[in-house]
Amino acid sequence: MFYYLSYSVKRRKIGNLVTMGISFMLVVLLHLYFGSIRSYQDQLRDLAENVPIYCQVSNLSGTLVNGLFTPKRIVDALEQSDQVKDLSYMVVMMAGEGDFKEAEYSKYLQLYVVSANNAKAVGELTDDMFSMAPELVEDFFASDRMECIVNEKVLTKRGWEIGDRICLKCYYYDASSAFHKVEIHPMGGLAEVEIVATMADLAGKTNAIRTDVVLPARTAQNIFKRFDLPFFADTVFFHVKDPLNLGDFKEEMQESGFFITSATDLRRAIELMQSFFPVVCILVLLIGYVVSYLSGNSRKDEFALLRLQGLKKGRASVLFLSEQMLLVLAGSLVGGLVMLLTEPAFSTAAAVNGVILIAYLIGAAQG
Amino acid sequence: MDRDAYRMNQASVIYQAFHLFPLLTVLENVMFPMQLQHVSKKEAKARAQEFLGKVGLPDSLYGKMPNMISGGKQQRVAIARAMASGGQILLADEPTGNLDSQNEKVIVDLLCKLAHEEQYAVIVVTHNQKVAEAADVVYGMLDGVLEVVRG
Repeated sequence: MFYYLSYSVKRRKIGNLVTMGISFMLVVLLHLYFGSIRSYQDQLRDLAENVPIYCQVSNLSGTLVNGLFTPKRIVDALEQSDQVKDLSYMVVMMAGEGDFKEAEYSKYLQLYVVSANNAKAVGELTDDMFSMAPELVEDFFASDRMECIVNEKVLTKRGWEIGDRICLKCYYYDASSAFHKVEIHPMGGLAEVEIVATMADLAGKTNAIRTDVVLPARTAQNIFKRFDLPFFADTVFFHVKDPLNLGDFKEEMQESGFFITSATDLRRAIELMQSFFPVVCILVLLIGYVVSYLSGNSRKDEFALLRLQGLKKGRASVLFLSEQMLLVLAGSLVGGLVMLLTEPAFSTAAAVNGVILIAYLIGAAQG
Repeated sequence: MDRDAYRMNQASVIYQAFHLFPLLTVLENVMFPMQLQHVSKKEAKARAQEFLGKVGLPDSLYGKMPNMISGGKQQRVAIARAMASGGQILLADEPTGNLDSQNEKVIVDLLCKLAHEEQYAVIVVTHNQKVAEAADVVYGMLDGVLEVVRG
């Protein structure tokens, strides 16, 4: 019986090409549909990486981003947060070399000491401005060693050299005064640090803070702790690790609104396309059913002839269905292979082919 | 009664419009009933050639598609296909309706030969008087009643 099927497939050229062509086109269209959805989803997933959200701690009005006295608990919370990456913070202190009387602090307090957890936190300071390799600079800022980097002009002026150990009497800024003004207070002792490198002078750079001595942030925290003083950061900024799950950070991200809108737009586009899925399914089923039904209907005489030759109804039906399935499968496979070359997604191809085969099966059975 | 088995093994039909399988060659058309009965391809081919010989068709026509041969030849192929089923009953529905007078005579002679020499029971439905005259027994249908006219 199936030799008749092979003759029919081989010799019914135009009709078979139409059937295969239609299934090929349907497969291509469905791949484009699912491919578009997947493309939007990939964009949404990569959005976090490609469009970062920058956050800076500021005052309520957003006018100040420096000198804020951000308490240590907030800095610690940001360091420990899963939502935060590239955290940068710094604190500015004043210092004088060696011990001196409190009453004479204005005479001796000449050094601007900046303590930070990375070079970026200082502003205008880049890795190439240090006299040591970038990886050593990174290690320096991450450490809690009693080390410092000194401005090369200051180094020269004071006759220091790399390797020297200097004693600094540090003063810190305090905003807790009852008069609501920032005051400077001694920390209560000396801190001895070793000069490990120099840095270029920042004078003349637009957003530069005068920096004479740089300490690692943890070193400064330890000094504060040693003298039983609360640590605070003057400047804090960071990036959000996963902008798509902002939650608590959303209200602070006014500058990042465009990003949120973009994410929302992508989500809406995906939802809109996905909402068409039932329509697409119905359309594919309808096309498959109609084409198969018409094809089967046009071969009624042939079917009758086979029956008159003595072929049972069931076997004749199987014969026609098999031929339809074969042609649709061939067209779908060709379409699927063509699309796989451009958009490798085997699961999508399999699903698409499955939908089309079912549609044709139903149509052919009815025909 | 299993009608499918009856159609396959007992009785075959010859149509006015021939109704050959358009996608099969002349030889394949005659082989078809035997292949439905699971006769091997080789044996079916040999027997098909034998039946085509009995209806007077040359082997040059075996590879032709039905639409490439004349009406008379198509009807002879249809007769050969009817014989190939193995049944001894041939039902012919206006077998000469689409044929000219020359081919009509050829078909009528062939059917007579099958009835008299090959022992087939040939039942012909016709409005053609000349065809009816060639029959051994003639029945007529009048107002839904079948009655013997001759024989």
